[in-house]
Parts: sequence; C-alpha cells; structure tokens
Amino acid sequence: MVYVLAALIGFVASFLLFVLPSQLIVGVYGERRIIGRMQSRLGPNRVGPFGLLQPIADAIKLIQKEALTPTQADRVVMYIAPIIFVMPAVLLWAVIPFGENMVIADIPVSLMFFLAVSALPVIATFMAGWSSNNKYSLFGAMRIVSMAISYESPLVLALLGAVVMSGTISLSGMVAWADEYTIWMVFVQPLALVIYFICASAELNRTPVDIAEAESEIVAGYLTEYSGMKWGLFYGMDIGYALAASAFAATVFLGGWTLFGLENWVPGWMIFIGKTHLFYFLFIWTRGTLPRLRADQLMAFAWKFLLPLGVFNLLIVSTERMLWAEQDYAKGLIYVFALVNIVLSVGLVYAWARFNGYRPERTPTRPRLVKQAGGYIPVGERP
Amino acid sequence: MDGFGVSFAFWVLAAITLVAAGGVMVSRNLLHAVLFLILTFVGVAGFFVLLSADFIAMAADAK
Repeated sequence: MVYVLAALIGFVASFLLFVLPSQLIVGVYGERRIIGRMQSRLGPNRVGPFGLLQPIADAIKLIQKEALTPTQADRVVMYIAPIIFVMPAVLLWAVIPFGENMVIADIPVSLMFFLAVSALPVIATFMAGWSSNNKYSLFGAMRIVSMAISYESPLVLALLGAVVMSGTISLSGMVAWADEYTIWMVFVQPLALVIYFICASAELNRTPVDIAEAESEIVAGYLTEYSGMKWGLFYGMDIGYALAASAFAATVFLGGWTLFGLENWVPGWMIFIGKTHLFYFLFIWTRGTLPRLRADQLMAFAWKFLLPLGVFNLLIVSTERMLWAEQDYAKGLIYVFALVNIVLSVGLVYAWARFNGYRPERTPTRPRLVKQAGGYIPVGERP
Repeated sequence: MDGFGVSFAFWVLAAITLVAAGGVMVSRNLLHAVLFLILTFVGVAGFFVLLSADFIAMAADAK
C-alpha cells in the first residue's frame, strides 16, 4: 500500500517536474482556471477531466493554424524571433538547483547567468515587433524595451541586497546559506523580494504591467502579426518565463529545496516545486486582480519609487553586513537583522510613498459622485 | 586548451563570431547589423566561458 502510494506520488511528481512541456501545461491550465475563479467564471472545463487537456487541445489547434506572414515583413527576422524567445526559457533552468546535487550546471556565477540570459527575450520581442512591419507591433516593441531598461536596474539592485547578505552569487550557495543560518532570505530582505517581484512581473510582461501588448491601446503589441504556433511559442514561453522567475525567487528568497530539516524526509525537489508554484500563484493573483497601469505611470514607478528604495535597501544591508562581520557572523544576529529589516521596509515604503505624494485611498464610507471623484460626465447624460 | 569538446566548441564559436562580425559590416539594414552585433557579443561571451572566466562572460552577455 505504501509502495503504491509512493509510486503514485513519484509518477505525479515526475510528471510535474521533469518535463518542461508538462510543467507548461500545468502552468497554462492552472493560470486559466485560477483567473477564471477570481473573475467569477469557470475557465476551461470541457476537454478531458476538469478541462485538464485544454492546453494540449490549444496546442494542436495552434499547430494546425496557418502561420501568416505579412508581405512587407522582414521574413527571416520574423521567423527566428520566436525561436530566440524560446531558447533562454529552457536555458534558464540549467542553473536552478532542484535538490541536493540536482543542478545541471553548478557554475559559481549562476545568479549572473540567470540575469544575463533572462535579458535575451527582450531582444526577441524587439525583433518580433520590428520585423512585423506594423506600427502597433513597433509600439509594443519600443514599450517593452524601455520597460526592460527601466525595470532591470531596480531588479539588479534588489538582488544585490540578497547577494551582499549571503556573500555569494551562486544559487546553490544561497540555498546553503539559508540552510546554514536557518532563515529564509525573504525575512532578512523583505523589501528586496517586493522589488524583485514587481520588477519580474514587469520584465515578464504580465497583466498588471503588460503595456507592451495592451489590447485596449495597441492591438496586441509585438504579437499583432503573429499567428499559429509562432504566436503559441510566445504565449507558452511567457508562462515558462513566469515559472523560471518563480523558481529563481524560490531559490534566492525562500531557501530553495530546504525546509528547516524537512528535506531529510521529503525529496528536496518536491519542496522546491511547491515553493515555485507558491510564487507562480502570486504572479497569477496579481494578474487576475490588478488593473493595467499606464506607460508613463510604470516608468515613473520604476525610477521614482523602486530605484530609490533599492538604493536605500542596499545601504541598510551593507551596514548590517559590516556589523555582522565584526561580530564574527554570529548566528543569532541574523534574526535581529530580520526583525529590524521588516520594520524598516514597511517604514521605508510608507515614508517614500508619502514623500512621492501617493496617499492610501481609504475605503469610502458612502458612495461618491463621479464629479466628486474628479471625473467628468458629458452634458447630455447628466442625471 | 585540450580535449575534443573544448576545441570543437572553440571552432564553432569562432565560426559564429566571425560570420556575425562580417554580417555587421556587410548588412545594408541597420537593424540587421545590430542583431549580428548581438550575436557577436554572445560568441565572445562563449570564448570567455572557454577561458574559465565565467563572470566576464556573463557581463559580456548581459552587456
């Protein structure tokens, strides 16, 4: 009985873990179902049990579809753009440690590798937008390039906080650090995680910040002229990048495959996959609940809010690192730092928001008229 | 530099880098030249990996 159970768990887990396409299927299905639930509808529920086969049906449909290319398009560049978009998504998983000694390429600069490779899809999206020979595509491409430049700097600053604290830029080293001091990086660096999360969703081009393919403004951005499986590769690999970013966040901020001693009883990669999907759920959550921002708001948010906070965070963490080194890396001190940093992060975010003039909107106790809220009603429709 | 794998990787990378660098010069389209230049950088990053200079390779790739 136990063996049957273990085999079943193993089968399900290997299905979840070892094949990236199956991971993508779970990702696509989960995303659509969860967003459906958040928006009071069902989501895919017709194909197979609970609609589980819907992603496969979609893929078959997309492969059958004719891949159109505009006559004036730059054919070669338009053709290789989705290929270049897919390549880094697979490459990223090479440096993620799934468990003890379960990492394909344990290079000493794996964090740098992740950052360098995750910058490549921006080139692919720009190629896609430019080669389509469509103004909306080019708009989308320009937007994604400007957004990537804006959000890359606070992202790197936030990760620098984690790197300074742990003293390593190897992802396995970060997991070992979390294991050695029995604390997750998220408690020591809560602000870094918040900044990383916002910047990653901007880099991934997901809905609260997906100005590059905003349907209501520019038809579908750089994807306007794409159809069939070429579009499908872009769509599927968006999920792949979200999963990779979740895995990266789980490794850096949640201690990877360790869980305070539980990893001796449960396989480390199961814990890791659980943490990854926790972050992935957060991505879906923000996608399902937040409205889209304007392009200028996004740029202002990156440069005026996230970047100064990242610099403050780096200042704090560097000071703490020096204090820590003077105390000979005492184990108890890290918990003090965690407490101080959580308080400081909340204070910093609140203070910087007040300084920038973002006031928290309290829930109105009574309904307000459109005019009071600063809106405008056309003359003919006034009540 | 020894071993078949390393020399094979070197020659492949050399071919890619040289062809891409030539592409930068001969392409009439400015954006094609930029894309070839990116490919050249990726090739150079590969050379740094072969030289066991991982950090410089990542910096060259991230530009």
